[in-house]
Amino acid sequence: MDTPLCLSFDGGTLLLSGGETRNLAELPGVRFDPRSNTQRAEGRHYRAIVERLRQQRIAYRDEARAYQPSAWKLQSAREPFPHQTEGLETWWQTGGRGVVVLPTGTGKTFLAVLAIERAARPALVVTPTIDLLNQWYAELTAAFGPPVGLLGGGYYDLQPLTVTTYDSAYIHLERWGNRFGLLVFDECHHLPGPTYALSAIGSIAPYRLGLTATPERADAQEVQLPELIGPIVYRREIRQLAGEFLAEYRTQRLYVDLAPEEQERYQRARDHYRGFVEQRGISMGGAHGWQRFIQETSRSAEGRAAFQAFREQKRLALAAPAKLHQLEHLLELHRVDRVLIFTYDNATVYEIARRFLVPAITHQTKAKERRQILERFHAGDYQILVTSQVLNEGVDVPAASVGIILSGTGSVREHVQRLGRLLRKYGAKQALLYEIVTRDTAEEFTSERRRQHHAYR
Amino acid sequence: MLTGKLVRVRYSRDRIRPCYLDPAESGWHGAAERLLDVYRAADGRSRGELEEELREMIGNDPAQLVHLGLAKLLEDRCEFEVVAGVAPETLREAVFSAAATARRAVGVSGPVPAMDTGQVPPANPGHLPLTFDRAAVLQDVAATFDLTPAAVQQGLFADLKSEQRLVRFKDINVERLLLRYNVALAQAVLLRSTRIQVTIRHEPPQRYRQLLRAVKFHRLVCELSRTGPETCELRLDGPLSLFSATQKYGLQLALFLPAVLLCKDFELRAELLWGPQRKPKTFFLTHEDGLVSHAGDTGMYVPVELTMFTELFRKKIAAWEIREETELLPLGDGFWVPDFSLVHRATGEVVYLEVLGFWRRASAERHLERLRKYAERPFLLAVSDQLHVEDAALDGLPAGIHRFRQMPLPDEVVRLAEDLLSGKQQHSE
Repeated sequence: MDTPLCLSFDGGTLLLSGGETRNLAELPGVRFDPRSNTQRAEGRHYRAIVERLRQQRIAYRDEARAYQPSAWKLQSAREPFPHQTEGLETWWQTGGRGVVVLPTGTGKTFLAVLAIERAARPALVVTPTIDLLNQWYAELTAAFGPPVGLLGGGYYDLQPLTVTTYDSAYIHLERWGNRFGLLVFDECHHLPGPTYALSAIGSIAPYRLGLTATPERADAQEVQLPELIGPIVYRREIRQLAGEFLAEYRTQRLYVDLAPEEQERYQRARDHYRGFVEQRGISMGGAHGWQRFIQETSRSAEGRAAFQAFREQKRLALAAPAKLHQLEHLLELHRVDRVLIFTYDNATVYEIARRFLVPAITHQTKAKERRQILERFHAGDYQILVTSQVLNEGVDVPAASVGIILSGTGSVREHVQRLGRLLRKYGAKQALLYEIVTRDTAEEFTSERRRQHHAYR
Repeated sequence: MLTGKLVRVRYSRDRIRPCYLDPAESGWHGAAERLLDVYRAADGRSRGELEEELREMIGNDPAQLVHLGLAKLLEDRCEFEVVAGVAPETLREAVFSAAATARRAVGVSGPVPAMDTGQVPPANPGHLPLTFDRAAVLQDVAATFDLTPAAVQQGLFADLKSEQRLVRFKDINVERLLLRYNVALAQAVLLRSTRIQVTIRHEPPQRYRQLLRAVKFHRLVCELSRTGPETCELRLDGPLSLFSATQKYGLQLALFLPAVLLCKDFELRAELLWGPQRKPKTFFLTHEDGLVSHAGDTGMYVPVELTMFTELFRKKIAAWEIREETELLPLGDGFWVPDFSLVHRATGEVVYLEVLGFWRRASAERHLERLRKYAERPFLLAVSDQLHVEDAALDGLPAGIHRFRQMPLPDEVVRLAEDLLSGKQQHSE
């Protein structure tokens, strides 16, 4: 044996040099790389490799790990809910690797803060959107004090405690892959898939925590989660927690009618697009239905016209001016309540903001202004806030007692999480969720689909 | 670069063939000229207005992909900024606060319906008490900023992307735009690639150094081999490619393309995962496709001193032949490309000569360090005094060293070469 075994990090992989080749090939995940004439493994095998080396008492030099354990100190003590304590302990006893499934609005963020403190390692939090990035940034700064790093949304600042997005984590993997001991994947059902998964594959972090309300994916790719993060270690449904601290809530559906002329245009466009779909034998609700529709419509002038018709009928059903009238009415009715308005697209958000002179949050809202708006909303200086789907997932909007959904798509996940934000206790007040639906349009079915989720029962 | 939606390709079996434009075809000239006119005249207009004008001009029809693609390339040359008298955030804060105050005042004085009866009267604002006066709020805020209510409304969201104004457009002529389009199209295809393989012929050492610099800059993993006389093959992907075919390096490979396009004679083969199903496809590109690089052809300059040295060497030295053809020698996890091969005519033995004359000092020092660590066989090193390399920096190099002032001296180089051959390695002082 000439030189001792050395581990180093190379763009999401571990390079193993020196040592006895015979031993190296037997290590978990290690493979010979003819390109660089070295032994190489994906970053995620770091923990298993190190554990094996220690177990077999093989000496090695670790040039891969570019971080040191780090004792985080919580700035303020807060009593965790029982499900947060249980979730944390179970995760830690499972080796600090695994997924915790909790409904939105039940304090996943605080659980992650506790996990960061427990793991005592530099930690990277990965989120799906810029809004969540901002939200986590604020939460972590409050919990541990500055500095908290940001990677994404125009920022490139790596700190021992950093928040990033799935996109930025994937793009910059080479630069952060060996600098964190704990990865927190927020809304971790986004992780499986050929691109985002690389963040988990290329990182050496021994500790991993996944958080989600809905691990199940339409494509069943959640089977990858155990490999990428760890198994589901803890799970509670909304009904198991409702008694614990969630407010009671009620939903109410309101119908509006399209103007006769709009109704006619809607029907014409819908017939056009349905005709095309049926003629081609595409099942829009079936597996790959949407994909096939996109393929078929991009092939011919006829297809492109059908696609335009599809967009037209969707636009008519979603953006019915009657909904804005109904909204105006609800705002009158609830003028002493804290009202959160959700709507499907940014154009409608800004239309509402201009028309009712109420603050708006979309993906274009900068971190500082966003924080200011949310603080004022929380304090009651602003009673009304309008937002598009960028707030869909997990963003902690404080103290709203009335929600109004103006339009939306019908996925169960989206809706549970939207609803979750209204479930916060606000004095003794019962939360109320309105859903404004256009009558006699496909949107009615979407709404029906939402109601099938048990969050509505 | 073009986005996935703007890519125009044909399929033949497993091959992807981009539909390049013929820069000579006048039809595209007209289209490009019309688009250029829009951008040249767009100074001060908002992104939204510009998009609206383009939509009217070319529509949103996928049949107009070329136009949309050209427009995208032109948009990439634009700079937009927020133009507003009063900062939009300030205006918003004032308007929303005033509106909230106005609403609260009504909330206290006006009748409040019970919220938990579930009874919502039909939407009919006309029959409701007039409660929130939007115009009054705007009027009040306008007065404090010395603006008109209309200006307040207009400036409220002036910082939105669609409201930003064009402040600079980097002009380009029609021919170059069409050439850029073709490169952008090939790059957009490469975004889907998992690895590429490039065969390169008849290029000088400077070209390989340039390519290897680009490999390093884009953090790619490169395997390089001689596959024939004057012919080399580069195989490029990234560290994680060993474990699965990933498109992670697609962007880096696409950005590497302009470096390849600088070669006179090349064949590129890319392995792709195409479409939402990620079907394996291949893409071929050669110099005959006529793509023109927009990358600067840097580092290709051959100093006149080196040319003079070569000429003098040929004139004076009979026993050795000096060759400028490229050798790629493995060096650690990379390669180096010596400037010359000296061939001993009697025995056919080869000695490599590296000339450190006109390097940046830092790169020269890095290069020496790597040579010291990894060079597999002795070579000759000619070092210019202008570089101010310390003797200590040359210690321990497996090389015969020749220090020179103006240009390397052929006699001296040959003496060292012969020393190397006879095994009497000496270090020049």
